[in-house]
Amino acid sequence: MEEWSTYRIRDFLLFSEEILLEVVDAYNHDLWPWQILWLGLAVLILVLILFPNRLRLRLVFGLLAAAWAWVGFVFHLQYFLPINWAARYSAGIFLAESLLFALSGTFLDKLQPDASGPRRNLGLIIFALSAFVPMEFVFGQNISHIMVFGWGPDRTALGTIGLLLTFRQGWWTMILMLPAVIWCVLALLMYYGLS
Amino acid sequence: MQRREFLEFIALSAASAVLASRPYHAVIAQEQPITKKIPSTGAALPVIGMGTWITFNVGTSEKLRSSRTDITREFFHRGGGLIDSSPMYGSSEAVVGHALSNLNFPKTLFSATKVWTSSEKEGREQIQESRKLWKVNVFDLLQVHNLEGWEGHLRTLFKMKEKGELRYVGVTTSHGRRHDEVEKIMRQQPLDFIQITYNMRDRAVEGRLLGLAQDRGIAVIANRPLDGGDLTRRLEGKPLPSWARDVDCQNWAQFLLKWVVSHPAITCAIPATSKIEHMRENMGASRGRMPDAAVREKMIKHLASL
Repeated sequence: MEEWSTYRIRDFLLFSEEILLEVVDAYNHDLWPWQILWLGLAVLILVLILFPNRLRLRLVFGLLAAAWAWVGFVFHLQYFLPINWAARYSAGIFLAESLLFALSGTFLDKLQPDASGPRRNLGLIIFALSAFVPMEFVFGQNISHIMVFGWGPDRTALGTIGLLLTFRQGWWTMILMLPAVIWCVLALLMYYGLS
Repeated sequence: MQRREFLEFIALSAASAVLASRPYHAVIAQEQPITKKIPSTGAALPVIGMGTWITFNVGTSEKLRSSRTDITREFFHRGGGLIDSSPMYGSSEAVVGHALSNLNFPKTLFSATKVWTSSEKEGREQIQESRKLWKVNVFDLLQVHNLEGWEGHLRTLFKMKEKGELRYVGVTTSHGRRHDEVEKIMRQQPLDFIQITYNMRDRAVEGRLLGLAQDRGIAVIANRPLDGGDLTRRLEGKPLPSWARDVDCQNWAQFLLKWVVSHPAITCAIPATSKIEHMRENMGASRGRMPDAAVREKMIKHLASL
């Protein structure tokens, strides 16, 4: 216990901010222009959520499953893993969430969209921010570091939290929200350590 | 001016003119770096080595791998020897191997890596993997990383040493952790090296471990000699004291590193960097005059006053 108190978050990070940004740069460069597709799918998700019915919700959850699978397989395993052996575990979180969304058709009846209310509005704002606002510029990064929903892990997790807030809260929404919240906490700790 | 002083002045001026007319790299090549002896064999090791924690974990990016090759080239060009890595450092071992093969494995290389797993069997497999990544057949030094599963790994490493598959055996710790256990191992096992954290801010090893290393004839590698860069960042913009020139320190990195490697028990320090200009500064600490005990004390007092 005494030994653990000597560790700082920075001691658990194997890479620097410079190298992380270089990885993001390579990810964006190598796979261009697939980002455009994910931007288009984020617009589609927003439209489907604004005018929901059973089929449209199935489609939203299918797209969420695809987004989490893409980030898990491509970002974490192909790009993040070479600089961070722990990325295999974060890939696991993303793939588990993808599986949950893929299976959500079986418990879709338990997920009811909120027709109105401040939480729904907050959820839509969070989703829009994560999908369409280039927040990277605020942190002094450049265009090669911009991530979009379904492409970057932070955007995908944050956008998912936003979307789930538009549903009536219950066990199922909480279960689906858990991996997204876990990633957001890990990402915050990582950025704190890097800074 | 006396006649003798005048003649000395003329001689010094002529020497300066000759030195000034030669390219800098020629001067570096001629002046050999300061080395210290590894107690168990008497072999010489340059006092400034290179660490690879974080700085060499650049993954598969060709651009970054190439920049790390340039840093490694500069390290050897300035007389560097020991490179230290670990399987724990992500892609660092692979990046070191990439750099070394591009540089045709410089003759002064002293390869040092670690075993980092609790299982003895996995440790043996990990060593094979490290050999492949470094592209070397025999490591100069293998160390048990953070004492993880040390009993089993030391058995493996001593056997390898007996068979000529390894030159030196060591254990590592950092940040002042598990010193009691390090002391116990130093007393019980025929270690060639220990690696510990030692810098002007973290002097915990001075109490017992450094004296014991001298008594037992164990070489000491100082990790985090710049406290992970925190010390140099803290001193940025502050003027170097004029008396630092008396021990040939041109910048704070050399001030901090010379203090570390001038301790009689320290064999080598392993600062890590991702910048060529910092590598040049670091390697400058392996040349010129070194501080004695009185100057080292003065250095500590000066740092505390800032």
